[in-house]
Amino acid sequence: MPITLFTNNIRVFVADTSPQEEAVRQKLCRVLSRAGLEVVDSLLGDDAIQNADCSVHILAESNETKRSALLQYNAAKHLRSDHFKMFVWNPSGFVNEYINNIRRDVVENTIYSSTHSPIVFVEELRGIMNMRKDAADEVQEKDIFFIYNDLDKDTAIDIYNMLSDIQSVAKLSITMTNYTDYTQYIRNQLQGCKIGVIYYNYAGDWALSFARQVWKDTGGSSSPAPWFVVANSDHAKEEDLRAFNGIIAHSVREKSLIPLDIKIFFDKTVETKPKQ
Amino acid sequence: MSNICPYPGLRPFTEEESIFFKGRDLHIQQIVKLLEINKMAFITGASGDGKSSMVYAGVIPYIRAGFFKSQYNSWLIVDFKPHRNPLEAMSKAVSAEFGINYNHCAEELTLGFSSLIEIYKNSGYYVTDTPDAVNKGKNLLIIADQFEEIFTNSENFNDGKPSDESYTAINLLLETVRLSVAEKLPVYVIFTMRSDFISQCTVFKHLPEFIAYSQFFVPQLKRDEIRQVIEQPAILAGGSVSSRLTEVLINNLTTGFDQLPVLQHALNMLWKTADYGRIELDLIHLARIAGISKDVLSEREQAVFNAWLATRPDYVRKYFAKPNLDNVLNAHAGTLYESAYNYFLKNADWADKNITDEEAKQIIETAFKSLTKIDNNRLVRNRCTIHEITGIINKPNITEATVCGVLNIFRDEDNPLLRPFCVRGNLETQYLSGDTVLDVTHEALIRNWRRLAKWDKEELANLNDYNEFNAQVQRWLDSGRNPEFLLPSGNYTVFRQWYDRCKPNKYWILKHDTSSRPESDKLNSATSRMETLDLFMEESHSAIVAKEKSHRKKVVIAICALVAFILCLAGFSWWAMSEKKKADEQTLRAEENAQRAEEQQHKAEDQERIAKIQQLLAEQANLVAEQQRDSVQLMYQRARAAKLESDRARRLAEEAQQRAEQERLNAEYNFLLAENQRDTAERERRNALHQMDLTKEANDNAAHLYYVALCNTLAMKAKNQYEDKTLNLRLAKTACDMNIKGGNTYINADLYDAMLFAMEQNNIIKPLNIPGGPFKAFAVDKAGHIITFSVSGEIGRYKITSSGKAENISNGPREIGYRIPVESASFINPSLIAYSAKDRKSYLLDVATKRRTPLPQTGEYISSASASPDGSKFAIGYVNGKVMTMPIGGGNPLAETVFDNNITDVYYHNDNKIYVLFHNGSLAKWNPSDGSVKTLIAVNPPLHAYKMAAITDKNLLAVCFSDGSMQFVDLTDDSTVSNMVAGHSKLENLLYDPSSGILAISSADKRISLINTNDLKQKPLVIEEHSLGNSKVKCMGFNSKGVLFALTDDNILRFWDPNPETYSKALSSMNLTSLSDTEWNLIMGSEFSER
Repeated sequence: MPITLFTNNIRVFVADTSPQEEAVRQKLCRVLSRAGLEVVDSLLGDDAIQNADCSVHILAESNETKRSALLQYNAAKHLRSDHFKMFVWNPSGFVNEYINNIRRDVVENTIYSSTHSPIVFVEELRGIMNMRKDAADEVQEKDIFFIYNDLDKDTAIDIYNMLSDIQSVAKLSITMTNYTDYTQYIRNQLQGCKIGVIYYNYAGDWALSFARQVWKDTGGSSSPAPWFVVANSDHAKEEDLRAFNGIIAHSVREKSLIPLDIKIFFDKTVETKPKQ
Repeated sequence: MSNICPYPGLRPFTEEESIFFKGRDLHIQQIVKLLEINKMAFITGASGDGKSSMVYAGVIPYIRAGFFKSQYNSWLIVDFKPHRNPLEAMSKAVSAEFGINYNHCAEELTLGFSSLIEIYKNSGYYVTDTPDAVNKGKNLLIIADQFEEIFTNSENFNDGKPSDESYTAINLLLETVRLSVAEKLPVYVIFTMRSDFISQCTVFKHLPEFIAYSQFFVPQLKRDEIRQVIEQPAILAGGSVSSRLTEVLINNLTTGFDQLPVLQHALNMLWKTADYGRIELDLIHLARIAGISKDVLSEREQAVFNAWLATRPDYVRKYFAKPNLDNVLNAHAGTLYESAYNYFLKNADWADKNITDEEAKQIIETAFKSLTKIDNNRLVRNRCTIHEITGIINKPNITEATVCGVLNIFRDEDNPLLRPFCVRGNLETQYLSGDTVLDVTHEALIRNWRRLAKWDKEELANLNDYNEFNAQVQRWLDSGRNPEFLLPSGNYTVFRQWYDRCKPNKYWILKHDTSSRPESDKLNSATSRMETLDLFMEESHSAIVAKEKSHRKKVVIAICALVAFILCLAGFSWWAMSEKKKADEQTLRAEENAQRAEEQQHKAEDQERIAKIQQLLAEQANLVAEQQRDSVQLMYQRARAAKLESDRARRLAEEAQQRAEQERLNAEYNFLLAENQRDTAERERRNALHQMDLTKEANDNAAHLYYVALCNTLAMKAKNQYEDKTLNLRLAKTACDMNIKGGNTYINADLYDAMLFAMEQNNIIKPLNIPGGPFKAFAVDKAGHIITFSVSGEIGRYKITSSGKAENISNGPREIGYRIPVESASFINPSLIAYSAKDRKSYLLDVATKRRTPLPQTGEYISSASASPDGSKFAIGYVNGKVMTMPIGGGNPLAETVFDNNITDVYYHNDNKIYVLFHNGSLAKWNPSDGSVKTLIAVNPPLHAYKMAAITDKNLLAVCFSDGSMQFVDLTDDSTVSNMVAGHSKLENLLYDPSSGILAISSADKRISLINTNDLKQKPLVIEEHSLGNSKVKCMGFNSKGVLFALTDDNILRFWDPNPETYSKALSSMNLTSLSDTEWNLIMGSEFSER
């Protein structure tokens, strides 16, 4: 079981709160420090928030919220982005119209928590702030990303050659006994292409599961580069792909017609893509 | 977007739904790692933690997709649940997957130990001795899902002891793992089990040891993983979830059991409420499924919500009193309970409808009580058949079909709370036979449906009463049915009440029989026990009645005797007393009468006086009262009239207020509706415009493609070897015409090639006939003259005449008088040649004076030379890695350096930057001023590179490689800009013409590609093998008009205009006759219209 090591130096701006919640705020600062996070105290001035990676705003039951707390809350709203997250903490779980307004105002990169425990809250904060994005590999800019199983390499190469004459193509042959991790590579390479194509003839068992995995891994229906599963009618039937109906585009064709089918799907995708 | 729901609700994800299974990616990889190392993974976790989903929608698709590497390419997956006989379940699964006879398989597996491995080894899936074993064989994965059924079913495990079948099944699985490790077989085993049964695993020998090294405890999802569970499936299905809804869901999730099932069920309901994801899932949808208070909504949303809620029936509205996430499942199940009767009437065509709403509810209550049981003080599910449920209900008008029809609402595809599920409109799945086993989809339903919890509490009380009653019956039987052991009156009353309330029957008793006997024995035992219970109850009743009758008779006799004595005594006393009393009364009455007569006389006189006075007063009062009554009556009438008026006004005001409120709500609703419709109309208008644009574009494209296709076909035809060579020209011209009609502006490789071919056939394009040679190099000067340099060291100068012939205009002798043959040569500019002779000595040769100057001797041949931009210096590279810069007139080197690799080309960019290309494909930058060197391209594994060319107007340097690819380097910052595939084989020469932007690249397959650097996406024109006389290109040159010259291996100099329009115009000017209809039909076919 891997233990996550939190090595990132995360700076947390702890905003002002009402006098009644000051003790909670102080305790939160201490818990944050114990969790290995750097506390950027609001006492350093309103501009201190600019030096932080995220901010915490404690909601209070009373109406005596400091003006500075509201200013800091608004400053954080303007800062929130993929690089700056805004945590709103309601430790008392109290709800009134003001708090309901805040809950309605939650958008991307805003995290609202009503847990009463500062330990649970800081644990969640640390987990979210330590999420890392995988490094991107070098991507080939091509029209089509063509993937096939090594079992089908004979027919796949013919199709690849025919397809290369009409569009630029990046190809990937999957060998199941090879200890290569393809997932990250596929995720990155698809970003450089306009469509992804999974071809199979004999390797039907593999292709159906593989298509599901990569479809899921690359954003599904919301992916900018859609997947197209195309099977050789030598060994595949339409009903094998029935589970993909309405989810993943697919077709079963004779080998000679497959490049044309891919080209049609490519044209349709490129034409219907909303203009930037 | 179709009506696909990416959230399965209470049921686990299937393998097909794995595409929407998110949040467990890391855990799946950890399980696969365990399998890889230990060949076994024992997955444990709390109920509702998603163990089955993780295996079926996570691990299996991950493995099948090839992300887990094993011996073979394919997988055989055998999965089973233990149910009431694990060995039988395993045998069924193994025989089905291996395609072998069930009886044979079951018999083999009964032997335990290596039996399963033997079946695998003897099947065709374990292949070792053929070359393509990796494709023919299959790895084996065995999945024992819901392994806790070994302990929860009394047939498998009773009184702390496992059944023989359970023991054998576990022996088989553990031995399979052991052998797989020992013999390195591609066989793997996965168990899933609820963690609260882990301690009971100790009764199986060796199982604890295996668990110890292969256990995977399913971790609770972290906040960001729950976020993925909520948001990712919607995104994958093309929908979205608002951030505020995600935060509310995460915060409202309670800790402990059922976190995920409750969330999944709520998400399933949310998705459907949001029109199957067509609208973003938001707080208002959560409010509509009773998952959050409406107070969280904005005012406008609240108004919409209130209007919507007002249309719901009362039984639905009551679930909105305490909305929260846990309540969603309760509200859903409760609503189904209330509407089951109507669903039954509408959908169960096959069943008799002679039941009432109350009876339908009774069927549901009995069914769910039967489908749950208490196990170690925990409520758990209990599978049972429709036949058993019907038996427990025990009513003549309620048949198995009726029970099935009423329960179908809980099996419906939209409400999958009971298994097996049914599909609306599919009779095969709707109608179930009596022996079909029903099961609660997930225990989360048992814990969250409050009505079911209440029923189970009642059922538990009934069971306790039954156990107590049964103990009394057993004592009676043990005593030889002694009447003294029958129930006394008090106990009889208690048990009679229970009997009437619970109405036990043989099926009810059977349900609570936890022994491990066969089902038939249990049913016989229950039947006999029921008869005994009835008899005991009856006999107890008879005994109590008989005892009470005898006691009552004795009491009646005693009471009668006592009453008779008391009556006699009382009669005598009464007579004596009454006689004495009569005498006393008569004396007293006489005295009183005398006195009363006197008083009456006085009273009569007084009363006469008073009466006279009162008569006068009464007359006066009567007058006043009459006046007052008239006045009061008048006031009363006025007040009444005023009150009626005020009531009417108040009613009118209330009605007006109600109307106003209703109209306000209608207006708001209509406003929202109109806004929505306006948005939809706008979207549709934009779509229509977009579609029109697309259609127009498609029409234009179709016309364009049609002409391009005609052009390409004609071009292909023009490359045929016709007897009539003019026909090639006419076809090429017609292809040009079609190309123009298609608006394609000549950039068509096939057409270009066809024109070249036709014109070569007709000798319109022909090679230059230059005597001498073989040539080592040539150059084109500013005047367009060709300067050649031959192996024998001869220099020639030629002018191209208008008829395309080379006219010798050499000045002075051609020979220079040095007899050692030339090995390599490079024109620094058209007036200066750097060359190496075969004796490895190198020289500079002035073209005009034929004077040569020795270069510093390096013992190796020159590979390339390049002049500086101002023409005052040049750089020269030798094959052995030496590079130097020199003044253009020769002399001592200005700077020099040596590289480890063989040099193929150099380029003098400026005084601080000289690019050196090496044979191994790497490119370095040398600064002659400070001697520094920087590697810009390092190709790994090495490719060969031969030439580079500066695209000066774009500040790029193009480098070509032996794999047919080309890379561009930015000359301003030396970054690698991009790369492209420029040919099918080794690229050998390249040359750039700044006036036209054309980059000519020759390759080993005897072709020259003409790349337009102003538009790199444009498909290059190609000068094909036939135009090059089937020879490879040695070197190339452009003249000032952009005409390309190439010297080929056959020692012939050829030239072409890279602008196809030149040839097109030439064809047009040749007065070629158009194709006749007959010719067109013959060549192209009559189905294609020419014009």
